[in-house]
Amino acid sequence: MPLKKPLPRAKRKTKRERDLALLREACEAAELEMIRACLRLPMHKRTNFLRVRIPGAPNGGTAL
Amino acid sequence: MDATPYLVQMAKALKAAKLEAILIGNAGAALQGAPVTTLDLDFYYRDTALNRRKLQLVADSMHAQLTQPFPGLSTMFRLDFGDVYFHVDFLAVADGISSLASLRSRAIPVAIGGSQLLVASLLDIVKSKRESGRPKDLAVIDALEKTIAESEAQDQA
Repeated sequence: MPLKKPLPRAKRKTKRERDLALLREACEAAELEMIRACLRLPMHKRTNFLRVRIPGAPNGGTAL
Repeated sequence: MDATPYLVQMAKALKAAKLEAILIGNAGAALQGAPVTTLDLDFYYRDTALNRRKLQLVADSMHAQLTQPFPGLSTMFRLDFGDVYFHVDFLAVADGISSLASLRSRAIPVAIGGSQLLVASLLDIVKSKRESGRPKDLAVIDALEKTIAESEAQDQA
């Protein structure tokens, strides 16, 4: 009977990977909170969405 | 920047010209709670000779210039406001939208400043963005879908 190769040990996440996972979670939570805040407003108050081009700004810069 | 003055003006101008147009794109999505921004307003309309005359009436009442940026290639018309870095586009053809009637059947009336605008449903906006396939459209689909899910969850609660 052939010998089975030992399974590789699960690779531990590096600190950078753990930090990135935490950051991703925080971003998702912030985005969800932003959506909830928008939905709490009546429709006629959800109007602060226009970005305007800034004349002379590099790369066609815009601002809210 | 607050879009209310433009939306109110547009709603009044469309009503005065009796032009049926439905707000699509990121502006429509933002009005339904999606965390997105935009540089312009996009309206879907039916391209007929009569409606083209009505578009001119809308432009006149808003003191804007009606232009056709891609004549021969597209039936898109644009309202230009001169020195203001903002415009309103009227599209008769948009990815994922089969007809004005189908869009209207799911559209939502939004009351703004004593006027009313028809806004395409978020599902239609997502469908249009997905079918357009442009990177800038695909980039916001995730946020729009989360808004739909959250909105449905709140409706059920």
